[in-house]
This record gives sequence, structure tokens and C-alpha cells, in this order.
Amino acid sequence: MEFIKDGKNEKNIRRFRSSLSISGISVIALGLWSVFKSVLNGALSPVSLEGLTEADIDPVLAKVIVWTVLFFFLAAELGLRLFVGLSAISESHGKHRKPVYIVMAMIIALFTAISVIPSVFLIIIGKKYFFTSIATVLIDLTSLGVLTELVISAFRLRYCLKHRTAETAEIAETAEAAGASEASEVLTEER
Amino acid sequence: MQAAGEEAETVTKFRRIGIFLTSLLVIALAIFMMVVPKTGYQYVTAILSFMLIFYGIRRVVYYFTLARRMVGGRLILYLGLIVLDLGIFTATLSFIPLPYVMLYLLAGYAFAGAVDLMRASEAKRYQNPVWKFILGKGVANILIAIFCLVLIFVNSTTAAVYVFAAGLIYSSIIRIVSAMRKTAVVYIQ
Amino acid sequence: MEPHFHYYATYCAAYLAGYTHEESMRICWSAEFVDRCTKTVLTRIKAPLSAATSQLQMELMDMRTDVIGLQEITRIWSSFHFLPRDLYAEVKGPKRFRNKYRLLCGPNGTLVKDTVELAKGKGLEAVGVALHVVADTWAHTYFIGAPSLVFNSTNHHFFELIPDGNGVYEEKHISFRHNPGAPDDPANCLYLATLPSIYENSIMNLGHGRASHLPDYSYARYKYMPSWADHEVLYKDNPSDFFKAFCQMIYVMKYIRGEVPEFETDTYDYETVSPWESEIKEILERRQTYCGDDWKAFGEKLSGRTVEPFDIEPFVEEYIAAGDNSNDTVIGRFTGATLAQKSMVTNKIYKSGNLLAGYSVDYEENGLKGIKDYFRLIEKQVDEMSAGGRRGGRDGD
Repeated sequence: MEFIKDGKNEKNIRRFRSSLSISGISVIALGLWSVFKSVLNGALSPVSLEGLTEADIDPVLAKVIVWTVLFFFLAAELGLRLFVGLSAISESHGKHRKPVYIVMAMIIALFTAISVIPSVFLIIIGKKYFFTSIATVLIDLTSLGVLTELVISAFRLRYCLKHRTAETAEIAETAEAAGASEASEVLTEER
Repeated sequence: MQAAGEEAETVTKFRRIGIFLTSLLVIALAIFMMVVPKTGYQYVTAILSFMLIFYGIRRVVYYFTLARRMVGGRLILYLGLIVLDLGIFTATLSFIPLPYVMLYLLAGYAFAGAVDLMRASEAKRYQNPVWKFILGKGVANILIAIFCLVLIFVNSTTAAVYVFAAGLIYSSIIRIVSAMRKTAVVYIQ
Repeated sequence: MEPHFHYYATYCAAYLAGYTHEESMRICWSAEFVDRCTKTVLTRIKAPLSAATSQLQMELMDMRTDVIGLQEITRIWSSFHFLPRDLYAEVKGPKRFRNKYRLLCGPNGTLVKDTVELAKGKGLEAVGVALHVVADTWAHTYFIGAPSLVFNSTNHHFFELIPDGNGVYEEKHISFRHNPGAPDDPANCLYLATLPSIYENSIMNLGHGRASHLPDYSYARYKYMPSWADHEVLYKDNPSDFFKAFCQMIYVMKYIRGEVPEFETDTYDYETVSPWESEIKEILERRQTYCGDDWKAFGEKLSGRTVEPFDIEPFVEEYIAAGDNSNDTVIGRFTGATLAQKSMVTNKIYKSGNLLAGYSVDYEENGLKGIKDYFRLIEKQVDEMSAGGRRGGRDGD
């Protein structure tokens, strides 16, 4: 038994593929959590929707409109995150993907960064929403970190693959195969 | 070496005292919840959210002390942060509807009961006489799970508090008994 | 190692080391019993429960994974199946990481020497226990005998290298499934593994459960990315390693028999094996999950006698019938050997500053403390000293 010495570039390829896969899964998980939390918030804290129904329209109709708009935005966010996450996972498994998903990830990261600001403001001044704002900032910063890691991993993986020349690839394959025959040769030499 | 032996005893003693005291506190809280079930239900939701927050923090601490060195370890960190957020979110809710609490209890007891039934089957296969006790425990857990299901339709917060508090008392007793087990092994040169 | 190696291959090694057929049967029975000696069995025969050398799946699921439960699990699995290679290995990281890193199993560590020397002069049952421990250090390399997601989990990077007969290896991705009813399918590289769990101390992450029985199959050559190795890929060549294990077992037994003056690690008795090398390698390389028949046939060819299948009932009856004299039975001597092994390994791990296997109390400095089952080791030492004193008296006369 022995560790295969296939070079730093190969090790980095494995590292960034792993990182990209994790980031992809996490982007999807955070998207699902965001949707779930919004629905729970609406269902269990109906007071949060009351302020939106002050206009002079039927309360039931108002709720329908609010829930429809909310559903649209949640679906859009989830759809984007699913696209980014699944593309990252696919690329981590060796399939080449167009860089569209990386651009989308950067856009989502930008919006997430912007959305942190009002939450921080609420923490500073808003006593009533202190704990909920802490939680919101926590998740937003996590989401930002995940998206940043995804973008960096995607770029670095592409860089490593580009510099994985045909010669390097052959060396890597030979090293892996030599790992099998070398072991038996070593055994013979030791004897 | 003598100091090491004494140190081992001291650390073990402190750990046992700590477990004993915290378990007693939990038992006292559980009894209080049963005596005043209406107030007790708020404690149920508070304990559930505290458990989630504590779990999330533990995941984060685990990441920084161990899982950071693991391939794919960052998933642990993200999971911990999501659960922490769920715990904080649960804590901010003024009221958790009874069905959610009962579903949580039902899942716990049903799973424990299923595991006990499998254990009893294996113990019987190996002619271990303890299989009858394990079977009884499994059947009891399944019956409590069915009772929790019924409670969803009956909509009784009092009964929910009793089931939850009984579970707290049982697990605290088990913790105390487990902590008293001997763990040192004598070594002869 | 798979059970057939521990039983039939150990018989072959014992016979080649110079033991008689009857002695080889006793040794290989003990080696195999290490995998079967669970609390359930010991409860049935009213033997000391601390002598357990293995745990059933349901026993493991029943165990509390609190500090004490984890220590008990680690004591069993690190002492008999995942013997740590280097308890003082240096690695960067927090203490929690370092303690588990130091439990990594591997052959030719100092604990192997301690295990072999402990078994010398203690009877055939002790020899069998020691051989099981030594053999497993080869199969279970780079796993630890404690539940650990960080050290024992596997990931998607798992490939089998299948020889085509011309020295070229075909790389095939291995899939692990979790259907207990379905057997391993080497033809399609499908193996049964434990369920994935994200908890560090989950029983699912004990030993090589996440890699299924693959480390125990003698034909397997595979490469995978250990989760703790910072994206390095490890290559394991089981045919080569198992052959070394077989040759080392013969050397161990020759040392215990007194034919070798001093035990050295990383030493193998290739000379004794050489007439049968190709036959043994053929058995090891054959792509099959059950190789008991091949080893049995080889053993019967060596000795000219029938190698009976493994059966615990005769010795169980002997143990129960012996009553107060049960320590002098096969199972009695076996449990004495396992208690001594567990006590020794726990002490070594504890002395290295690692509490994962629990506390070890030095008898000479602290007296009798801790789990009562181990007090039997004192009685045994007193008996041995008395026997030595009586012999000295007789010599003086």
C-alpha cells in the first residue's frame, strides 16, 4: 500500500472538484432553506402579512396576491440556485459547463451582499427584530461565502485543467498504473 | 503514574457529578411541566428551539475542531449554520402548532421502537435471554408513537406535554445510570 | 481480514510454522473466534463480558455513543482489529484530530511487537488471538478502531484496479450500496457498505464499514481518497499485503515457538512459504468473496488431515460444564488472553496521552481499580508466580 504521487496539479484538481461539488450542494440547500423559512414565516406568523393588507381591497384577495407574488420570487430564486448548484456539481464530476452559471453565481452573491446591509442596520437599531436579524445576517453571510467559494473553485479548477497538459496527464496515468506494478516489483526486490 | 491514576479518578468524578446534576435539573423541569401543562407547552417549544440551536453550535464547533481536515468537511459547517438559523427562527416564533411537536415526538419514538424490535430479533437469534426485555421496550415505544399520532387529532396540549416530559425523565435517568459505569482498566506489567 | 483467512489460512500458516494438526486447529479456532466473541455469546455462557473481542451490529446500535460507550468500542476494535501503528505520530492540527490520527491502523508498528511478545508462553489460544490482530493490521491499514466520520468515511473517489492477465489494470469505479439483503457483486464492482452518517461518533463510521468488506477481500486492488489525507490518493494491493501477512504470521509463530530468538517487525518468513508461493498467490488473486474452500483444500493438502469447519458449541459446552474451573478450558484461556491484550493496548494508548480508549490504572502503583473483569489478570499473575516459586523450591531441593 502507498500514496500515489501524481503531482500537485492533480491533487488540486481533486481538491477544487470536491470544493465545487460541496459549494453546489450548499447553494441548493441554502436556496431550499430560504424558501422553507419564507413559507413557514408566512404560515406561522400571519401578523407579518397584515401590514400588507391595509389597502382598501378584499383581505382574502390581498392575501392571494401577496402569496402569488411571494411564490413567484421564491420560485425564481430557487430556480436560479438550482441552476447554479446543479451546474457546479456537474462540472465537479468532469462535465464541461459554460461559464453562465459562474456569472449567475456572482450576480446572486452581489444581491446577497446588498441584502446584508439592512439586516445589519436592524441589528444596530431595531430591538424588536434583533434575534431574527442576527439569524438573517448569519445565513446571508454563509450564502455569500458559499457562492464566493463556488466561483473561486470554478475558476481555479478550469485553470488547473487547462495546465494539465497531455504530458502531465500521461504522467498521472502512468503513476497510477505504476502504483499497481511497482508494488509487486518492490515485493520481489525486498525478497 | 500515581498522579495520572489520581487525575483519572478526579476527572471521572467531576464528569459524573456534572452529568448527575444536569440530569436532576432536567428531571425537575420535566416534573414542573407535567404539574403545569399549559405553561409546560411553552417550555416544550423553548426546549425544542434550544436543542436545535445547541445542535447547530455543536456542528460548527465540530467543524473547527475536526471536520475542517476532512474531504467535504465544509458541508458540516453549512449544515450547522442552517440548523442554528432554524433554532433561532423557532425561538422567535410565538407559538408552534401542536401537530409539528407531535410529529417530532412520533418520529423519535417510532424510530426507537423499530430499532428495539430489530435488536430483540437479533438477540433471540443468538439465544440471549435479554431479548424479552428489549422486545417489551420496543413495543412500548411503538405504542407511545401511536399515542402521539392519536394526539394530533385529539389536539390535547396537556397530553403532549406529558409525553414530552416523560421522555425527558427517561433519558435523564439513563444518562445517570450510564455515567456511573466503570471505565478504568487495570494494567499489570 | 475475512473469516476464511482467519480460520483456514491461519491453520495453513500454523502448520507451516511447525505446529501439529491439533495445535493448528486450536490456533486457527482462536483466531477465528476473535471475530465471533461478542457480549451476546459471553452472556449466554456467563463468561466475563469485558473479554468481548467483537460486537454484533445490533450490539453496536444498542451502545450509547457517550464518552464511556465510545471508550468501550475503541478498546475492543483498536485492540483486536485496528491495532494502531504509531501512537506518537506527529501531525498538525487540534488535539482532537491528533488523538484520532494516532489510532490509524497499520502493520509493523510497536504495538505489533508488544502483542506478539504478550502471547509468548501463554498457550495456543493466545497465539490465535495475536495472529488475528497481526493479520488485521494488513487488511485494515489507514482505518481506525473508533467511530469517526473524519477518518473512516469514504467518498466518490473509489476505484478498483482489475488485472486483465497481461500486466495491465483496468480501472473501474466502485459503487457502494446499502441493501443488507444483497450480497457483494465483484463482477459489477458493487459492494455493501454501511449507511452514510454525518455524525462523527456514529456506529456507521466505525472501522472500514463505509468501505464495505473490500479491505478484507484478498483479490482486491483499489485506490481511494481517504477523507483525512488532504486529497491524496491511496493505493492498496491486497494480494501483495495478504501474502506478506501470511509470511509474517509464520515468522510470529516461529518466534513464539522459540525458533527465533527475538521478534523484529517488518520481517517475513518467505523461505518456508516458497515451495507453495504460487499456489498461495493463486488463492489470494482469485476473484471471489468466499475463499474458504481453497484455503481448506490447501490446508488439508499440507497436513493430510481434515480441517473441521469452525464450531463453537463443543467449547461452549466444555466451558459451562467446567463451572469454577472454567479458566482452564479453551474459552477460559481465550478470554484470559483477550483481557490481557485489551489491558495492554488500553494502557499503551492511555500512556500516549490519548483518552479515546479510556483510563488505564497501573496495578503496581494504584492497586486494583476499575472494571472487575480485569482483576482476573491479577489472579493469573499470582498463580504464575506461585507456580514459579514451587518450581524454584523443587530445584533447590
